[in-house]
Amino acid sequence: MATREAGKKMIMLKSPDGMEFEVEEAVAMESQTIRKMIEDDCADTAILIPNINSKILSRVIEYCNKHVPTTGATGAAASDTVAPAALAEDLKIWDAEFIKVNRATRFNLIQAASYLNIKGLLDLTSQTTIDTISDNSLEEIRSFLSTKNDYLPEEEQTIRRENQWAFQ
Amino acid sequence: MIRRSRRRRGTYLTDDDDLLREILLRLPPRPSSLPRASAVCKRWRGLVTDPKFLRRFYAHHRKPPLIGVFNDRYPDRVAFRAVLGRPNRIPPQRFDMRRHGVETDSGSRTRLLGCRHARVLLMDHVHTELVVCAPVTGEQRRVPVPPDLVRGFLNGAVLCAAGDLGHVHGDCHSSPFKVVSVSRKDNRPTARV
Repeated sequence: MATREAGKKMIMLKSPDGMEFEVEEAVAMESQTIRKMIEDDCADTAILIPNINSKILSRVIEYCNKHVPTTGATGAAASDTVAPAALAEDLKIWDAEFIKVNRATRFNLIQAASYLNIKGLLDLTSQTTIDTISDNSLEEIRSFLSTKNDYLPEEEQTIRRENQWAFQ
Repeated sequence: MIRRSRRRRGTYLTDDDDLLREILLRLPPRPSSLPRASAVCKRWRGLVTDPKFLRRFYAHHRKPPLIGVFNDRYPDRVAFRAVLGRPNRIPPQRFDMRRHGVETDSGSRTRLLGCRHARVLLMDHVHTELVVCAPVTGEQRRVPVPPDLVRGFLNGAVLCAAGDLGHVHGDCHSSPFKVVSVSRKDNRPTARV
């Protein structure tokens, strides 16, 4: 149920495992999916977030809380006395700590960021994943993303030959 | 049962094309990134060679890296020289325009005027033509030198003329282009587009 607390509009988010999270509307609207629901007036009761369990949802809310613009909202570490560059640096350090999670959690966060359409979180989680693997060998990439090599040996050879320089 | 537990360990993420696309989109914009990704498995190859993905890839990274330069020097004449290290060092043969029928070796009378937006502009002194070649695709167009510019000292540039909204320079080799040629004759500068 949308409620009011200290003059701020609150929104209730529910995970499929039954947990409820009361968050400021501005924080919830960091998600473009939720923003659209609110703007289309589909969100006057609690919003059920399917496929995202309470552990991941609470991390997502933590991220949105930190990244919500400081004007008209609380929760972020900014104040009027902090320069924008320092604020951006602070967020970068915070993000780097936030994303120190195991592979399964990171993959869940990518799914959640994609479903909830939170660009910053999708950038952070996807970029961290690709940075982890981009300098690795093909075998390491396959292993990290549980991807099976379905090429016949001669097919893989042909692909390597097409751009041999890229494999040197 | 075995399949089920394997899926639970995380294969579900990469089973989803949309999510995998989001991740692959953020591969570094280095020349080796996409050829290497396409060697991982058939599905990855399908995703990273999709023209729609490639357009998003260019748009996401905006400014493409400088992969090399074209030189016009004796004895090779017009030849590509890579500036990146391995595995992003594209060999000169890949962009050798002789493969596409443009005579650029030392015996030819073709001179390099410039390279912009994925196209090389050359002057063919034998046929008095400007040659525009996209070394990535091999596409080649010839434009006669405007008659009033023939007898002067000629220079020119090829520019991307893509007018579509959201076009990012770097993916220009299939876009329309303009050739600007300038000449100085009798101390009088003349330009043609």
